[in-house]
Amino acid sequence: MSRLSKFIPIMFHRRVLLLGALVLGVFVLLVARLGWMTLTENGAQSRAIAARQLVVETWLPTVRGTIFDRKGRVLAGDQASYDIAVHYRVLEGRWVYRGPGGELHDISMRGMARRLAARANPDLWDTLEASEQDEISWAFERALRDRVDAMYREISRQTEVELDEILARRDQILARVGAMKESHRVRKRATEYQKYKDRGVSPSAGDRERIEEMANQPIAEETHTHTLVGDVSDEIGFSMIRQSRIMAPIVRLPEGTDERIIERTSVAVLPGVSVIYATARIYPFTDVDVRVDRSSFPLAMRAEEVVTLDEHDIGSLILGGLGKGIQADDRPRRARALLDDPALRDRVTTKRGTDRGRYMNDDRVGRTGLERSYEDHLRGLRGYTIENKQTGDRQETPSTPGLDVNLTIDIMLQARIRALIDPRLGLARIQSWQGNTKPETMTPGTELGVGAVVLEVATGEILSLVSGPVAPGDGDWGRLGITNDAQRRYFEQVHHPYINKAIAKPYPPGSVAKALILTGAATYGKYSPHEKIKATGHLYPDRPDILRSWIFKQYKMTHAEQLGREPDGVDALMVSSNVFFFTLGERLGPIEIAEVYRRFGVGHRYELGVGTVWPGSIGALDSNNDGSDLTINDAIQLGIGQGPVTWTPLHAADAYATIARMGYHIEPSLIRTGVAPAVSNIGLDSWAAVEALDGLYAVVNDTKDGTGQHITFENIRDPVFNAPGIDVWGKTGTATTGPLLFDPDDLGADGNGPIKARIVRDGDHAWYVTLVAPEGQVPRYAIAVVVDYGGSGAKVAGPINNQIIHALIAEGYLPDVEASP
Amino acid sequence: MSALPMHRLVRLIRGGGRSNEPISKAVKVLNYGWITVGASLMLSLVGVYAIDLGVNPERSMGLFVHSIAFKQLVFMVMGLVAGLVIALPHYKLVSAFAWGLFALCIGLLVFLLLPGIPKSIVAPSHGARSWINLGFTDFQPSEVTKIAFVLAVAQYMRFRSEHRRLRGLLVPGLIAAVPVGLITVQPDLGTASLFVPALFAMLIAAGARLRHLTLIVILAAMAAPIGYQFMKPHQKDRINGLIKQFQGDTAANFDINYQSSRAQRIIGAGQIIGMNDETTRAIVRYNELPEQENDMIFAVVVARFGFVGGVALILLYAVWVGGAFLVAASCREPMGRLIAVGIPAFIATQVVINIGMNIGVVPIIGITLPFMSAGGSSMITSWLMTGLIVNVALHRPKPPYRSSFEYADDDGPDPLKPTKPYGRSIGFSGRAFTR
Repeated sequence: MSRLSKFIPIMFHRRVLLLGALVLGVFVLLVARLGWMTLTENGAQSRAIAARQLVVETWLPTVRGTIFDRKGRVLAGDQASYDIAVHYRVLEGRWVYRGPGGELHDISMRGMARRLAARANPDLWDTLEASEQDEISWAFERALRDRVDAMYREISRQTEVELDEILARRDQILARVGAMKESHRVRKRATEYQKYKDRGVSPSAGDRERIEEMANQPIAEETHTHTLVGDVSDEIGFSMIRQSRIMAPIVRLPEGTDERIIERTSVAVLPGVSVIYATARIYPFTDVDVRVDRSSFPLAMRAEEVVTLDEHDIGSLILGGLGKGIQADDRPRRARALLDDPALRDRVTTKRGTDRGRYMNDDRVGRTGLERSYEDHLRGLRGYTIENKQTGDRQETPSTPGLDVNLTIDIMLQARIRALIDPRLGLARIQSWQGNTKPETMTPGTELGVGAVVLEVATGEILSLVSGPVAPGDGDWGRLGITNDAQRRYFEQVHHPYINKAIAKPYPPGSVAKALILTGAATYGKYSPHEKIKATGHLYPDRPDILRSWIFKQYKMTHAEQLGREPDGVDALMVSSNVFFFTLGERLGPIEIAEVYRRFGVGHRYELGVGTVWPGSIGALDSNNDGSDLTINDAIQLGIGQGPVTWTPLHAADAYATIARMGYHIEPSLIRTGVAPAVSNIGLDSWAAVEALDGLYAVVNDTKDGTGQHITFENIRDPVFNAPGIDVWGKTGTATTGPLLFDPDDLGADGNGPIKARIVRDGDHAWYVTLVAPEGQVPRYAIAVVVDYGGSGAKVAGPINNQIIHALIAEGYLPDVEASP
Repeated sequence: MSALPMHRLVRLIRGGGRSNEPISKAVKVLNYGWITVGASLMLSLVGVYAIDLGVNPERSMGLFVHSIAFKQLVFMVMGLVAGLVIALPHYKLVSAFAWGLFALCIGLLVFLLLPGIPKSIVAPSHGARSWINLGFTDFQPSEVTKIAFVLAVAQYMRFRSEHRRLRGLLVPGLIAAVPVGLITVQPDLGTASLFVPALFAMLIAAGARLRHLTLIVILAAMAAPIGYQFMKPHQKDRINGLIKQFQGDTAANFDINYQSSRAQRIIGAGQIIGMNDETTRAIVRYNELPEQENDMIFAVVVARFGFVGGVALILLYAVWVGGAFLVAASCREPMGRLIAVGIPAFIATQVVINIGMNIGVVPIIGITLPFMSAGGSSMITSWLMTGLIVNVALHRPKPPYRSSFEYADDDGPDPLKPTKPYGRSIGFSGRAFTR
């Protein structure tokens, strides 16, 4: 007999004890597992996760910072509006409903129909055959689909957007999200299979199944709403909000039906619709009507009648715009920005380290111009509420508007200058009286592109950065007379409407660079004060066919003969003597002449934050701009602003402002930061600057020999600049450049050159760069104007420059002598 | 009061027959059965409270009165009455109807599966044909079948010894196979799975050789993969879901493991001593625990009372089972013994599976927690079981009865021969019946 039998002699008792021990043993295991779940870290984690479900965190919308012009006008600002959005599942043909806790669930139409059918027939439903249930469900399903169709029609009716357009937007959303989902699926599969590969094992059938399940998990875009119609008014928004809360029976039930059944078979009138409080970005000065007084126009175009031009996209290339929805690089870019900028990080993160400006789907993000470059600055910080569902406690952190940006630009000045270069006005068109040297291509009426800059000398602030023509921001190409794709392609290739010509298009300086060469040569000791250089008509005595002065080329005479003396620097500028400046170029040589250009900013990229900026170049594009790749012939050409050198109107205005400051350079700025600008001395000799200014003054004011003083029209010498009480210093330029080819098929060049390309623009770019001031004062503003393929600087760019001076007067930057008593 | 009904009641209590013995001699008022009653009462009351926690987030009395928590209270009272009714007549009289009751239950299980039965009578619920609509309520035959099964097996085995041989296990197995098969076809795999452990418990208690039973368990384990192939897809999914959980794959927490993962989260949140009433209601509500008043009631209790409460609950069930085993041990009569072993075996198995589901060691197979999960059938059946235990404990064995299950465990000249005569040497009519 076993020991146990001794103590428990009755077998039945031993067996019951065994059973009891078995039960107790299993219970102990249950307790052990329970202890592991509750007493260890798992318990704390579970408590935290469970408690999180009680707390609802909601982000509050915020407002993007405002962009102001120098006079405090709002150029870009947020305005409250509403977006009408529909849940993705409804868009794709399913149904959504709210659970007891307010959470959103989705279900197939058929599933929802069956539920509703069962609710409508609670006593009968379980007794019905499957086919009968299907038949009833089908009727409900039809009603649900009709409800969704009615929802789209109602959105169309309220927002006055065509139903086809709304459905097209829906299809776009479905296509986009479908593509994202497929991409996610592919990526997920690849990542998971790679893990197995890295471990050197093959996934089993179960593993493959698991991977497929993971890959097919819904992506975020499938679980939230998508905007069908954005930026609707308050009235429409409120109306849709009210309607979206209404529930109505999906089918008409017989009279006397229990109220509870009616309630349980009611569904949303607007299924899946959410009205999202949004904000629209408005640009109040995008479209401006400008009155133009043509009484100071060139004689050939002068008129007493004031015209009003409707100008569009004012400042669009500077301000840029927003895009809806984030792109792949947005989040990493923001993360990098936070990492690199502690001040930004401190400003935008909560105590828990959450970025309040973080990107969420459907966010607006700056895509071009200042909206893009100042995205982190302008971006507002969301507020948030934390609500405890259990206690009802609510904590709110208000949202913080984004920081504002104050520009140096005067938008009304900008608008005026845009009007001036509007082809409708005529200043930016070839005129027959201009005597264009390429009449076969540049026929009268040919539209010209223009870039113009207005810079304040004392501060370096940019008052205006104008480029024309620009692409229509609203897509209305018809406004420009463009009605088909071929015309649009032509327009884009000829005018580069997406580039800001004032800062981003490279131009050869031409003769406007001569003022720089004069001061630079003086600084390098290659020119003495008022040194006279023999004006021979052509640089090389034995080569009258090259390196010639324009007067020799046209009239076979020399400037010495013209002036009655050998020219000094002042004269050379006044008459724009090529031989004089060829000589200076030769004296300077490649290295020093490159250095002269560099001192004046060529090769320097202005950090304006408005997108593409051309830094200028000396020599080959991939060189260091140090002249090491230049020859002496290049240096000679560079003496007159030709050859391997490019810059922009901003470079030109900046260089002339530096001369006006006697060699002190102030970096041009577009944004007012409240910090004094950095001033540097580029090392010009003051006397050289004075001599250059004298020369520039003579260009404009010497009635006999100043190349930029007048336009002869019907034998009348009409002064280029006619604003009374305004002193003008300036220099014309006729910058030689290659012809512009247009390739209608965009096929580019094959081995034999462009296919079917034809010359559409030819001749020289027309420059006129001026310094202006009230009479008797030092230069106050620098104005640089370049006209693409305009030809003569005085005849084409000059009138525009003159009108800019009148615009400055109109905006109060220069005194209106005529108006003052 | 008329003497006749009282006389009949006394005869019922005595178990029939004529006797001049006072009734106090026929019953043991002080008995271990009251342990099960105490445990049942406490479990039922905790169950009502836990159901209210799960379905009454506002803690409103109005909502309580109209909710299933109040209904559960009513069912508890009905169960108490039912338990009292079944406890009074001697279990010998009750077991006289064992085969009849068993046959009736089998008939009802067959009825559930008959094609052509209108849905107004047998309406599928959660895909299973388990309920008969009686008009005023729904009735689940498989619940009563548990009791009928115990009575039938006890009736079969009480005077037999064939179960000591391997082939002697066949008939009890067949007795179990019939209801298990019918319930599995409903399909209600969960309820079907309760019968086999109960049978095994009764066989162990009745002296079946342990090595025979071990062999059967091993063979069943080896056959399990084959059985898996015949499972329905959703049943396979649940098993796969459990495996994934052990592998740490949380992706399934959003579909097949949703119920289990939520229950585990809420259990874990209870930590040591649980959360207060208000917080528990909010946690259960906003964590969207499915079947919070039913299969997952244990999670609600642990959320409220923590590890301490969970252990206390398991302890209460241990007390219930222990009390029933004490009743079995103190009973000398084989029928009573087997009843007092079979019934707690059902309860214990159900508790282990349900709590196992909640804590994520058993797949979700839809087993309720006795005395606690919402549902009239479950509550009344549980109290009927308690009533039967009390019945066995209350009534002294009525002769004639034979030696019950006293064998040499494994060795001995004759495995069928009881080693010890048992029974009153001065018994019925003065003659002792021994074998």
